[in-house]
Amino acid sequence: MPTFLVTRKMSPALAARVQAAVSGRREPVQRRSSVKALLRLFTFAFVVTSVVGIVHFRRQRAEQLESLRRELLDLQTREAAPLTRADRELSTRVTAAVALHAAPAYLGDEVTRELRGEARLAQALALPTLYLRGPLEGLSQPARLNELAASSSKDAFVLCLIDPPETRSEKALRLKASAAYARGPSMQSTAHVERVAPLLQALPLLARGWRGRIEAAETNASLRELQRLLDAAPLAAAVRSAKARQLLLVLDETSTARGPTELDGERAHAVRIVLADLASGELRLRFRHEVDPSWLSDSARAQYAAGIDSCALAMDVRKAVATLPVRD
Amino acid sequence: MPLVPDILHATPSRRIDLERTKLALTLALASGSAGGVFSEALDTATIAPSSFRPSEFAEELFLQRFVAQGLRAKIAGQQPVMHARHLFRVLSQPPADPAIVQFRREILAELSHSPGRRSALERVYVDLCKLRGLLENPSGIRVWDENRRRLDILRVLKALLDGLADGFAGAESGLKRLAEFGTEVRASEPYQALSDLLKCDARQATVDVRVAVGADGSVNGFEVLAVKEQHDNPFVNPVWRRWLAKLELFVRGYRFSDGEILARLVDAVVTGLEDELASMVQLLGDLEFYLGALGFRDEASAAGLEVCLPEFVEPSAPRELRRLFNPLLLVSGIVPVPSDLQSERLASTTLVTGPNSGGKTRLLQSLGLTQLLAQSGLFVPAASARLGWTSGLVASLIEETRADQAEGRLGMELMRIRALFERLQPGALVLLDELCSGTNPSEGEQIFELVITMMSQLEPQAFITTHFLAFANRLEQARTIPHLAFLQVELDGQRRPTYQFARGVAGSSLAAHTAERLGVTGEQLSALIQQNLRVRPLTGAPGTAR
Repeated sequence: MPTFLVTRKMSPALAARVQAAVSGRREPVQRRSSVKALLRLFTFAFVVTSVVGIVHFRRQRAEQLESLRRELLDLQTREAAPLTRADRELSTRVTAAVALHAAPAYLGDEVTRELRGEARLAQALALPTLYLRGPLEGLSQPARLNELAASSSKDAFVLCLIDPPETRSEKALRLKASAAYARGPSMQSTAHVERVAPLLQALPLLARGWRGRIEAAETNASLRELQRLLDAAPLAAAVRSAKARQLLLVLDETSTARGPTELDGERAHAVRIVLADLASGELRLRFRHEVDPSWLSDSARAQYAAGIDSCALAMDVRKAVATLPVRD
Repeated sequence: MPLVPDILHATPSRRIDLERTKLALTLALASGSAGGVFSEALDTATIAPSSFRPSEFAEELFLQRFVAQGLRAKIAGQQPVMHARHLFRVLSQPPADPAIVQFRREILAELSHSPGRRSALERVYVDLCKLRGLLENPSGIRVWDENRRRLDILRVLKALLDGLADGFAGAESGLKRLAEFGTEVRASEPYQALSDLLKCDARQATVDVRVAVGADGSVNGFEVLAVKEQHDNPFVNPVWRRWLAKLELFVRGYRFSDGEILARLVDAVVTGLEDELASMVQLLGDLEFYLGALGFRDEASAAGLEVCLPEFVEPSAPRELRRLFNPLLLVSGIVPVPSDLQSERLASTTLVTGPNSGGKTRLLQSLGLTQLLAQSGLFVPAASARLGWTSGLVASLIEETRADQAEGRLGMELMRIRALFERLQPGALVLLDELCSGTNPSEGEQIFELVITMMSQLEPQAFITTHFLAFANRLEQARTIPHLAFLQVELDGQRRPTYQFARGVAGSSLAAHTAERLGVTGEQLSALIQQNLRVRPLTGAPGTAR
């Protein structure tokens, strides 16, 4: 059998030697080697098929991986498109503002000249605002910010601050508190107010670092985990939060009163209200006021003590801005 | 019949066992190590018929030592290790055919007079050493790329063949045989295949690249201008064919690799050059013969001594050796004193007398080695020499007492004489040191006379040293034994030996001088006794009560 090693350019003598170098064996050995050759052929075919299969499988996996990666990157790009550089930095500013204003020492009531008066306050509160309420003791610890932000939601205080009841009667306050609890249509007036939690939780998923993780993922499993996190994250709320201009911070001081605690946990205590500009870091309003549900009727107190207190507090804030010391 | 690059014999012959050597080389190529291929082949190589028997002189003349220390080549400051056993065999069995000696002398003369030829010979020898190293892998280092090693072997083989064809073109002596061999091989198909394979390995393809260099000297990019394959090379295959060849080899039981293709091609090329490769083994031994002789000449020259290619004359012609020196002293690092030696007739018996340590035994060694070198076709340790052709060499220079000897000293002496006559051929060179010194002078002289009288019938070229001065004087006066000559060690004004030799018989062996020189006078011995007595006073025998 001629060999592929022989070329037409070879002399006959050389060709014969090449042939002999490749196949120079005796007959009996030839028969044995035929079986061996057949085995080798099968082995070769098996190996080739396996290799091709493995290569195909790996290529498919790689294509799937790249497809998923592209999908995730597109999603991230799409979601993050409205964000400016300042928006991306907002979570840092919020963290800093909370840390600053949740200091245990209270530095006194004050309000900027622009907010002096109820109408001016209402006008300011119409701006995109981040709202965070929590215990002063907890928020003074930066490590607990995420946890407390997650449990903070828009409540009767926000509703009444933006859309106060007409009177300070128990009934009027109770209606507002009830509406806030029910997240009813009247909460629509607070649509421009966002929670801090989405900002802290989901904004990092739209950052460049997260994009790097998607690009660096080497397996489908790791990409799927990233996809799961992206799907679960409140990305739209995070983007809205990132557009806020000011932070409305309500800090509940620890109660020192000896009176009873209501069913919803409400009891007499002092509350600090802070309104800070997030772009400049300027304090626009700082006000401290006591709340006490003891004046409420039993039925109202049992159900809405905290809500009514919050709503009343909001009304007090609106009223107080006209008389608070002006911050120059 | 293909030429054999044999430069030791007038009629070229393949002296090594070709088939065995080829098999060993094939194994060496395949296994990557075959220590001793060259030594084994050379040790068993046949040599030209000789009438000399090494057992009759080699030990007496310290021939092995002379070969090991005297026949050494120095090339570019390096002293390659030569096959001393092969050299010893060649030197201890000089060819019986004078044509071979003449053939070698012509080669040596050409190498001596033409530095270019010598350089070419040295280059070929260096390449042969490389080839030996690659084939034998003496260091035992594991070879990681067998194909690269085989290609290196082929590359060196090609360089060797080219060196033989080009380096000895126009040579006038037997060296032209190397050129003829090289030219014949170069014209053959296997050499063409070898050349093509090496070209294919060196540059199967060439890529012309244009490199762009930036203002700061950095390479900014490159552009491939052209890719050329050696399409006319018979070993160059298209890529698809190479791939199919790999597949074919795999199915045939080989590995699936480019290396396996190369291995098969190398095998095909080597198969065509097996005889030539085996010839290189024999050539290595031949080259060492001449390079050793040239090395000996260089060493002598560095010591201010001369060597020559002797003139062979009839046995009846006078012997003439000018500035003869002892080569054993030279190779031992001692500069020997050369002496001139003349005798009326080569075929004669010469009695050498003189003081102890006067150089008599050294003279016999010099004469023996001179004869061996001369009849091997090599330089002799003399500025000029006229020598006779001898049928053999018998030397008896060392007589050590052995623990197992059956006889006493006289008995051994007589056995030695008996053995001498058993092996003595007509016209041989006989070297006897202090014949019959083991018995009393009067009886010894009788045996001595008997020996030289009987020996003269074989017309040997005999040199016998003796301290029987009166006896030698009587023989000189009587002149009853034909062709008997006498040489004596010359003494200077202080009666010290000059290591020169003059005609006649010495007046004294100057034993007293030697004894004085070695501290064996009455006074010196007495002083030693007194010194010993002071250190250990005489006491009774051990265990004796005082």
